[in-house]
Amino acid sequence: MKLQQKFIIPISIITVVAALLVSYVIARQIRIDALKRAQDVTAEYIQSKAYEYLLPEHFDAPVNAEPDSIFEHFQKVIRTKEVLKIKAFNTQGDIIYSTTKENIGQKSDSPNYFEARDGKIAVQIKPPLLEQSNIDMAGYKQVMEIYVPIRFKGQIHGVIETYYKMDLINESIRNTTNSLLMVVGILALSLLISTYVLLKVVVINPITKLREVSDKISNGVIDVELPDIRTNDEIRALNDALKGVFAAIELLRDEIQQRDAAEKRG
Amino acid sequence: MGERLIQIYQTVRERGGIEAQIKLAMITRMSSIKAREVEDTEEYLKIFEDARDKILSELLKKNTPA
Repeated sequence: MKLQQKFIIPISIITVVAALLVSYVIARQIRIDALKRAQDVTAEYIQSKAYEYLLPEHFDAPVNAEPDSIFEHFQKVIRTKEVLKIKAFNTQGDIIYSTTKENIGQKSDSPNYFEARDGKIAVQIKPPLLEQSNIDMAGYKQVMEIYVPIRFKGQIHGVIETYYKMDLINESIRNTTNSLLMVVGILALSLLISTYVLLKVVVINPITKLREVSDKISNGVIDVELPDIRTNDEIRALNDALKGVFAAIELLRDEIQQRDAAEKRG
Repeated sequence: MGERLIQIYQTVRERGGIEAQIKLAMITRMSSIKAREVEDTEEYLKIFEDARDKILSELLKKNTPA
Protein backbone atom coordinates (compact mmCIF):
# COMPACT_ATOMS: atom_id res chain seq x y z
CA MET A 1 0.00 0.00 0.00
CA LYS A 2 1.32 3.44 -0.92
CA LEU A 3 2.08 6.02 1.76
CA GLN A 4 -0.68 8.27 0.42
CA GLN A 5 -3.30 5.53 0.82
CA LYS A 6 -1.93 4.53 4.20
CA PHE A 7 -2.69 8.04 5.50
CA ILE A 8 -5.74 9.05 3.51
CA ILE A 9 -7.86 5.93 4.05
CA PRO A 10 -7.74 5.94 7.90
CA ILE A 11 -8.02 9.75 8.03
CA SER A 12 -11.10 9.62 5.75
CA ILE A 13 -12.70 6.89 7.84
CA ILE A 14 -11.99 8.72 11.12
CA THR A 15 -13.31 12.03 9.71
CA VAL A 16 -16.52 10.45 8.37
CA VAL A 17 -17.18 8.53 11.60
CA ALA A 18 -16.45 11.63 13.72
CA ALA A 19 -18.70 13.80 11.51
CA LEU A 20 -21.55 11.28 11.72
CA LEU A 21 -21.14 10.95 15.47
CA VAL A 22 -21.05 14.71 16.03
CA SER A 23 -24.07 15.20 13.74
CA TYR A 24 -26.02 12.45 15.50
CA VAL A 25 -25.27 13.79 19.00
CA ILE A 26 -26.08 17.42 18.11
CA ALA A 27 -29.20 16.52 16.08
CA ARG A 28 -30.46 14.36 18.93
CA GLN A 29 -29.86 17.17 21.43
CA ILE A 30 -31.63 19.68 19.16
CA ARG A 31 -34.66 17.37 18.98
CA ILE A 32 -34.73 16.77 22.74
CA ASP A 33 -34.40 20.51 23.49
CA ALA A 34 -37.03 21.51 20.91
CA LEU A 35 -39.57 18.99 22.18
CA LYS A 36 -38.91 19.86 25.82
CA ARG A 37 -39.32 23.53 25.01
CA ALA A 38 -42.57 22.84 23.11
CA GLN A 39 -44.04 20.82 25.97
CA ASP A 40 -42.96 23.34 28.63
CA VAL A 41 -44.33 26.32 26.72
CA THR A 42 -47.61 24.53 25.97
CA ALA A 43 -48.00 23.36 29.57
CA GLU A 44 -47.28 26.84 30.89
CA TYR A 45 -49.73 28.35 28.43
CA ILE A 46 -52.51 25.86 29.36
CA GLN A 47 -51.94 26.45 33.07
CA SER A 48 -52.00 30.24 32.75
CA LYS A 49 -55.17 30.16 30.63
CA ALA A 50 -56.79 27.68 33.03
CA TYR A 51 -56.24 30.09 35.95
CA GLU A 52 -57.68 32.86 33.83
CA TYR A 53 -60.80 31.11 32.54
CA LEU A 54 -61.54 28.17 34.85
CA LEU A 55 -62.44 27.70 38.51
CA PRO A 56 -62.07 24.65 40.81
CA GLU A 57 -65.84 24.01 40.68
CA HIS A 58 -65.66 23.46 36.92
CA PHE A 59 -63.58 20.35 37.61
CA ASP A 60 -65.53 19.25 40.67
CA ALA A 61 -69.01 19.50 39.03
CA PRO A 62 -70.91 16.29 38.17
CA VAL A 63 -70.11 14.86 34.76
CA ASN A 64 -72.63 15.91 32.09
CA ALA A 65 -73.16 14.22 28.79
CA GLU A 66 -73.18 17.58 27.04
CA PRO A 67 -69.99 19.63 26.82
CA ASP A 68 -69.77 22.32 29.47
CA SER A 69 -69.92 25.74 27.79
CA ILE A 70 -67.07 27.07 29.95
CA PHE A 71 -64.72 24.33 28.69
CA GLU A 72 -66.05 24.90 25.19
CA HIS A 73 -65.02 28.54 25.51
CA PHE A 74 -61.69 27.58 27.13
CA GLN A 75 -60.97 25.18 24.28
CA LYS A 76 -61.51 27.98 21.75
CA VAL A 77 -59.21 30.29 23.72
CA ILE A 78 -56.28 27.90 23.89
CA ARG A 79 -56.63 26.48 20.41
CA THR A 80 -53.69 27.42 18.24
CA LYS A 81 -52.17 26.16 15.01
CA GLU A 82 -50.48 23.49 17.08
CA VAL A 83 -52.94 22.73 19.89
CA LEU A 84 -55.48 20.54 18.08
CA LYS A 85 -57.85 19.27 20.72
CA ILE A 86 -58.19 19.00 24.48
CA LYS A 87 -59.61 16.75 27.13
CA ALA A 88 -60.32 17.77 30.70
CA PHE A 89 -60.33 15.26 33.56
CA ASN A 90 -61.46 15.55 37.15
CA THR A 91 -59.37 13.95 39.89
CA GLN A 92 -61.44 10.76 39.73
CA GLY A 93 -60.25 10.09 36.17
CA ASP A 94 -63.56 11.05 34.48
CA ILE A 95 -63.36 12.87 31.20
CA ILE A 96 -65.44 15.95 31.94
CA TYR A 97 -64.83 17.62 28.63
CA SER A 98 -63.48 16.52 25.27
CA THR A 99 -63.42 18.05 21.84
CA THR A 100 -64.79 14.64 20.82
CA LYS A 101 -68.20 14.51 22.53
CA GLU A 102 -68.31 10.71 22.73
CA ASN A 103 -65.36 10.69 25.14
CA ILE A 104 -67.19 12.68 27.80
CA GLY A 105 -68.06 10.53 30.80
CA GLN A 106 -65.44 7.87 30.02
CA LYS A 107 -62.77 7.00 32.56
CA SER A 108 -59.08 7.41 31.87
CA ASP A 109 -56.70 4.58 32.52
CA SER A 110 -53.72 6.36 30.98
CA PRO A 111 -50.58 6.28 33.15
CA ASN A 112 -49.89 9.80 31.93
CA TYR A 113 -53.15 11.01 33.43
CA PHE A 114 -52.17 9.51 36.82
CA GLU A 115 -48.73 11.07 36.57
CA ALA A 116 -50.28 14.47 35.88
CA ARG A 117 -52.81 13.98 38.69
CA ASP A 118 -49.79 13.47 40.96
CA GLY A 119 -48.54 16.92 39.93
CA LYS A 120 -46.13 16.23 37.09
CA ILE A 121 -46.46 17.30 33.48
CA ALA A 122 -46.68 14.05 31.51
CA VAL A 123 -45.93 13.75 27.84
CA GLN A 124 -46.47 11.03 25.27
CA ILE A 125 -45.27 11.34 21.72
CA LYS A 126 -47.31 9.08 19.52
CA PRO A 127 -45.65 7.41 16.58
CA PRO A 128 -47.00 8.79 13.28
CA LEU A 129 -48.38 5.42 12.15
CA LEU A 130 -50.69 5.02 15.15
CA GLU A 131 -52.14 8.45 14.62
CA GLN A 132 -53.21 7.67 11.09
CA SER A 133 -55.91 5.35 12.51
CA ASN A 134 -57.25 8.07 14.80
CA ILE A 135 -59.91 9.92 12.89
CA ASP A 136 -59.57 13.06 15.03
CA MET A 137 -55.91 13.30 14.13
CA ALA A 138 -56.32 12.51 10.45
CA GLY A 139 -54.09 14.70 8.34
CA TYR A 140 -51.47 15.13 11.05
CA LYS A 141 -48.39 13.03 10.85
CA GLN A 142 -47.53 13.02 14.53
CA VAL A 143 -48.97 14.39 17.75
CA MET A 144 -47.70 14.86 21.28
CA GLU A 145 -50.14 14.40 24.15
CA ILE A 146 -49.37 16.75 27.02
CA TYR A 147 -51.11 16.16 30.35
CA VAL A 148 -51.06 19.30 32.48
CA PRO A 149 -52.09 19.27 36.15
CA ILE A 150 -54.38 22.17 37.02
CA ARG A 151 -53.82 23.52 40.52
CA PHE A 152 -55.85 26.07 42.41
CA LYS A 153 -54.24 27.31 45.65
CA GLY A 154 -51.69 24.51 45.49
CA GLN A 155 -54.28 21.76 45.20
CA ILE A 156 -54.80 19.73 42.04
CA HIS A 157 -58.39 19.90 40.81
CA GLY A 158 -58.02 18.29 37.46
CA VAL A 159 -55.91 17.53 34.43
CA ILE A 160 -56.07 18.99 30.97
CA GLU A 161 -54.75 16.93 28.10
CA THR A 162 -53.81 18.72 24.90
CA TYR A 163 -52.98 17.19 21.55
CA TYR A 164 -50.03 19.09 20.21
CA LYS A 165 -49.49 18.90 16.46
CA MET A 166 -45.84 18.04 15.88
CA ASP A 167 -45.73 18.63 12.13
CA LEU A 168 -44.44 22.19 12.46
CA ILE A 169 -41.87 21.44 15.14
CA ASN A 170 -40.76 18.31 13.28
CA GLU A 171 -40.26 20.40 10.17
CA SER A 172 -38.18 22.94 12.14
CA ILE A 173 -36.11 20.13 13.66
CA ARG A 174 -35.64 18.59 10.22
CA ASN A 175 -34.56 21.92 8.71
CA THR A 176 -32.11 22.61 11.57
CA THR A 177 -30.75 19.06 11.36
CA ASN A 178 -30.29 19.34 7.59
CA SER A 179 -28.43 22.65 8.00
CA LEU A 180 -26.29 21.09 10.72
CA LEU A 181 -25.51 18.06 8.56
CA MET A 182 -24.56 20.35 5.71
CA VAL A 183 -22.23 22.43 7.91
CA VAL A 184 -20.63 19.33 9.49
CA GLY A 185 -20.30 17.78 6.02
CA ILE A 186 -18.60 20.87 4.61
CA LEU A 187 -16.29 21.06 7.65
CA ALA A 188 -15.40 17.37 7.35
CA LEU A 189 -14.75 17.72 3.63
CA SER A 190 -12.59 20.84 4.19
CA LEU A 191 -10.66 18.99 6.89
CA LEU A 192 -10.11 16.03 4.56
CA ILE A 193 -9.01 18.20 1.65
CA SER A 194 -6.66 20.33 3.77
CA THR A 195 -5.17 17.20 5.39
CA TYR A 196 -4.65 15.66 1.96
CA VAL A 197 -3.03 18.83 0.54
CA LEU A 198 -0.79 19.23 3.61
CA LEU A 199 0.22 15.60 3.51
CA LYS A 200 0.92 15.79 -0.20
CA VAL A 201 2.98 18.99 0.04
CA VAL A 202 4.81 18.33 3.30
CA VAL A 203 5.40 14.57 3.20
CA ILE A 204 4.46 12.75 0.01
CA ASN A 205 5.93 15.07 -2.64
CA PRO A 206 9.41 15.37 -1.02
CA ILE A 207 9.52 11.62 -0.34
CA THR A 208 8.47 10.93 -3.96
CA LYS A 209 11.35 13.15 -5.17
CA LEU A 210 13.82 11.32 -2.89
CA ARG A 211 12.47 8.01 -4.14
CA GLU A 212 12.98 9.07 -7.76
CA VAL A 213 16.61 9.91 -6.92
CA SER A 214 17.16 6.59 -5.14
CA ASP A 215 15.57 4.75 -8.12
CA LYS A 216 18.08 6.44 -10.44
CA ILE A 217 20.99 5.43 -8.19
CA SER A 218 19.80 1.83 -8.08
CA ASN A 219 19.80 1.94 -11.89
CA GLY A 220 23.45 3.04 -11.86
CA VAL A 221 22.90 6.75 -12.50
CA ILE A 222 24.95 8.79 -10.03
CA ASP A 223 24.79 12.19 -11.73
CA VAL A 224 21.62 13.16 -9.98
CA GLU A 225 20.51 16.40 -8.45
CA LEU A 226 18.82 16.09 -5.07
CA PRO A 227 15.71 18.22 -4.48
CA ASP A 228 16.04 21.47 -2.59
CA ILE A 229 13.93 20.82 0.50
CA ARG A 230 13.62 23.88 2.70
CA THR A 231 11.38 22.55 5.46
CA ASN A 232 12.96 22.16 8.84
CA ASP A 233 12.01 18.54 9.47
CA GLU A 234 13.04 14.89 9.20
CA ILE A 235 12.60 14.85 5.42
CA ARG A 236 15.10 17.69 5.04
CA ALA A 237 17.49 15.84 7.38
CA LEU A 238 17.15 12.74 5.18
CA ASN A 239 17.73 14.83 2.05
CA ASP A 240 20.80 16.46 3.62
CA ALA A 241 22.21 13.07 4.62
CA LEU A 242 21.72 11.85 1.04
CA LYS A 243 23.49 14.96 -0.23
CA GLY A 244 26.43 14.02 1.98
CA VAL A 245 26.46 10.48 0.55
CA PHE A 246 26.35 11.84 -3.00
CA ALA A 247 29.21 14.23 -2.27
CA ALA A 248 31.23 11.26 -0.99
CA ILE A 249 30.37 9.18 -4.10
CA GLU A 250 31.39 12.10 -6.31
CA LEU A 251 34.67 12.43 -4.41
CA LEU A 252 35.43 8.73 -4.77
CA ARG A 253 34.61 8.78 -8.46
CA ASP A 254 36.97 11.73 -8.90
CA GLU A 255 39.65 9.88 -6.95
CA ILE A 256 39.26 6.77 -9.12
CA GLN A 257 39.33 8.84 -12.32
CA GLN A 258 42.53 10.59 -11.16
CA ARG A 259 44.18 7.26 -10.36
CA ASP A 260 43.16 5.81 -13.74
CA ALA A 261 44.62 8.85 -15.50
CA ALA A 262 47.87 8.57 -13.48
CA GLU A 263 48.14 4.87 -14.33
CA LYS A 264 47.65 5.61 -18.02
CA ARG A 265 50.34 8.30 -17.94
CA GLY A 266 52.80 6.25 -15.97
CA MET B 1 36.84 29.29 -7.31
CA GLY B 2 37.00 27.82 -3.79
CA GLU B 3 40.74 27.88 -3.16
CA ARG B 4 40.47 27.85 0.60
CA LEU B 5 37.88 25.09 0.46
CA ILE B 6 40.26 22.97 -1.67
CA GLN B 7 43.01 23.76 0.82
CA ILE B 8 40.87 22.34 3.60
CA TYR B 9 40.28 19.22 1.50
CA GLN B 10 44.05 18.83 1.08
CA THR B 11 44.75 19.36 4.79
CA VAL B 12 42.23 16.69 5.70
CA ARG B 13 43.70 14.34 3.07
CA GLU B 14 47.23 14.83 4.42
CA ARG B 15 46.18 14.09 7.97
CA GLY B 16 43.54 11.41 7.54
CA GLY B 17 43.73 10.10 4.00
CA ILE B 18 40.82 9.34 1.70
CA GLU B 19 38.64 8.21 4.61
CA ALA B 20 38.85 11.65 6.23
CA GLN B 21 38.13 13.26 2.88
CA ILE B 22 34.99 11.15 2.46
CA LYS B 23 33.91 12.25 5.92
CA LEU B 24 34.49 15.89 4.98
CA ALA B 25 32.40 15.46 1.84
CA MET B 26 29.60 13.85 3.83
CA ILE B 27 29.58 16.55 6.52
CA THR B 28 29.85 19.51 4.15
CA ARG B 29 27.67 17.79 1.50
CA MET B 30 30.10 19.08 -1.10
CA SER B 31 32.62 17.04 -3.06
CA SER B 32 36.10 18.35 -3.93
CA ILE B 33 34.95 18.84 -7.56
CA LYS B 34 32.12 21.07 -6.44
CA ALA B 35 34.41 22.85 -3.95
CA ARG B 36 36.59 23.83 -6.89
CA GLU B 37 33.59 25.31 -8.67
CA VAL B 38 32.12 27.45 -5.88
CA GLU B 39 33.37 30.70 -4.34
CA ASP B 40 34.97 30.83 -0.88
CA THR B 41 32.00 32.40 0.83
CA GLU B 42 31.92 32.92 4.57
CA GLU B 43 29.10 30.44 4.89
CA TYR B 44 30.97 27.66 3.07
CA LEU B 45 34.21 28.45 4.91
CA LYS B 46 32.50 28.17 8.28
CA ILE B 47 30.95 24.82 7.35
CA PHE B 48 34.26 23.48 6.03
CA GLU B 49 36.36 24.75 8.95
CA ASP B 50 33.94 23.32 11.50
CA ALA B 51 33.96 19.98 9.65
CA ARG B 52 37.75 20.00 9.38
CA ASP B 53 38.14 20.71 13.13
CA LYS B 54 35.73 17.93 13.94
CA ILE B 55 37.46 15.39 11.70
CA LEU B 56 40.94 16.33 12.92
CA SER B 57 39.98 16.17 16.56
CA GLU B 58 38.42 12.75 15.97
CA LEU B 59 41.66 11.64 14.28
CA LEU B 60 43.67 12.96 17.18
CA LYS B 61 41.52 11.03 19.63
CA LYS B 62 41.84 7.91 17.50
CA ASN B 63 45.63 8.19 17.27
CA THR B 64 46.24 9.10 20.90
CA PRO B 65 46.93 5.97 23.00
CA ALA B 66 44.54 5.64 25.95
